[in-house]
Amino acid sequence: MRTWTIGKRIAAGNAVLLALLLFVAGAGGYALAHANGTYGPVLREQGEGLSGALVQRLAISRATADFLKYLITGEERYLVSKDEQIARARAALRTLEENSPTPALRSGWQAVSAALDDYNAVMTEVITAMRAGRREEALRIRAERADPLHVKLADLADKVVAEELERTRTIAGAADRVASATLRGVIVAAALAFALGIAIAAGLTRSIVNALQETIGTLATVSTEIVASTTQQAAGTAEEATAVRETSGTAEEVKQTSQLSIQKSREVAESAQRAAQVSQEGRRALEESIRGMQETKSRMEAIAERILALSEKAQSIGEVIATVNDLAEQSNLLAVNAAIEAAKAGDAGRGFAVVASEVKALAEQSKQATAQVREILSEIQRATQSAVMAAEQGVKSSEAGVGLATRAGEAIRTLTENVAESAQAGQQILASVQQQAAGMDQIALAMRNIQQASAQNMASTRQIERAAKDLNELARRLKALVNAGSAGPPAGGTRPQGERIEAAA
Amino acid sequence: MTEIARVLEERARRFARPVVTSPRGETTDLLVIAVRGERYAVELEFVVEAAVLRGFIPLPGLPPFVAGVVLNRGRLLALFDLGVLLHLPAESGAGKAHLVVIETERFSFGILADEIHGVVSVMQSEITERKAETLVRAVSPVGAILDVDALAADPRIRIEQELP
Repeated sequence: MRTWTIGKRIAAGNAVLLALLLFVAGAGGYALAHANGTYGPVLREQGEGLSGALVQRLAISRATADFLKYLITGEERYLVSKDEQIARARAALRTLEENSPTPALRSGWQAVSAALDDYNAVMTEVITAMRAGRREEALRIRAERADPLHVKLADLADKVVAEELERTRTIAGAADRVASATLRGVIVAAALAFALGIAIAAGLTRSIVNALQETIGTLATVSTEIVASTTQQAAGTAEEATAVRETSGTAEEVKQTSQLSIQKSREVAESAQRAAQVSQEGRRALEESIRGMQETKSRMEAIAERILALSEKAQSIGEVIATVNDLAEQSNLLAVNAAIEAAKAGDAGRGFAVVASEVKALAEQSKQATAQVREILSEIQRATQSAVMAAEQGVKSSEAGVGLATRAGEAIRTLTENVAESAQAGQQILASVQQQAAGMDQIALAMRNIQQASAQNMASTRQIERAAKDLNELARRLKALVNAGSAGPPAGGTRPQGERIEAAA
Repeated sequence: MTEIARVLEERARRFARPVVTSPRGETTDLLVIAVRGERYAVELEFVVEAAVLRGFIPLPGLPPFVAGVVLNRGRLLALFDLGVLLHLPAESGAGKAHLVVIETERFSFGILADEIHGVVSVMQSEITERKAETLVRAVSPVGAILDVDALAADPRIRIEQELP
């Protein structure tokens, strides 16, 4: 039973009830059919018998009435009617005899028929008397014989009817007993069916209510969870819609930025190409300048060598000058000694003193000249020294310049390559930025679609939320309904939502 | 007359100096030397010779004003450093040293001179006698005139000392 579905349980309960009903109906029907089969022909015979009895009685009464009318009036037409009525009574009596269910009744009716014959014979005597004009006699016969016959006839008929009625009463009593027995059986069966139906209904109700309560509890929980989740989803969808709106705004901005980027990258690519050209020219110019510097360096080296040779010559000149200076000093001393000797010689040496002073003047001039020459020579030497140093510095500078220029050439070569790569990269960037812009267009379009979809999603989420709330309300009402209909706890409308409803029993 | 002869004659005329006789009296010939940057003069009558000093022999154990002995034309002469005697501040980086040979009545000796400027005739009137100072007899426009006799008679230079 536990594993049966509610439909199966209801079907099983209803089947039991239907079986009971069928049983009761069958029993009743059987009882009715039995009663009908048993008492139907009896009652029909009785009815026919009673109606036949009434017909013959009525016909006899009317024949008597017609007979009396003839007696009173003496008109013959009443006799005709009287004969007709007698014939009818006889026919009725024949029928009654033939249809009599019992021999007692048949003999009773035969007695009645005999009495009728007697009565008719008496009436015929009376009528004959009347016709013969013996009125007095006729009346007397009627009064003396006809009336008692008539009464006897009536008594006989009544007696037969009473017998018939008695028999019928007996049969009816049996039928009543059968009917009452059947009624009692039916009542007992009905009571049994009622009790069983109540029990089944109670059991079914309990099991269904339990299952329903369980299901409704689950439904309430689930619907509450659905409400909560749809509310969250609605909030999330609203946030998502906002985010999508912001994102589409951002996508628009990015699109504009990418347009700007296209422009800028085009400019960058163009300038990179120009830079590549310029760096090529710079490289050529630098190579020329390197050649010029190397030439300058070799010339400077030649100059330095020549200046060194000149400096050596100047040193040899200095040696010569030193010699000349020494000679001049010796001449000077010689002149001094000559002057001393001349002074010692007195007047005789006066001319010699003049010569000595001339020699001394010459020596002085030589000395001055050598001093000048030395000065000039030292200037020349200083100049050559500085020239040599300058030349060496020039050589070094030109070497350094060549090195620098070579490095600059390397740098410019690298720069040229880099610039070429940059130009290429700029072209690639331009292409990719254009693709990016196309992609951004697609993204913007997609974002608009997403925005629309998000709006629809939000609307449908709200619908779902409403539906879930309706579902929740429905679950609450169902719960109230089930709790009101069962012996369980009071309707859980005030219970916190989401709580599982425990089984009532 | 050739061109060369003409040029030489002109040159000779240009160098020729007229003989000047002093109109205002006697002159004195002085040899002007430089000792430690200072100019001094020696009367020419005392000077035998001026020459480049080609080396001398320092003598140990003598006062610092005696530089040593020098050989001159076969004679051994005492060499005096006038700078020490005259208390002159020492000069660094002196050039070529010169020797002036002096001859007095007492004896001959040499003095160290940094430079020999030459022989100059100075008017007697231009010479101012200076008695107060030893070793400097007078002052002339070309320099202080050394008192050679006083130098020769100076007791400091007479060294009679036995080596231990």
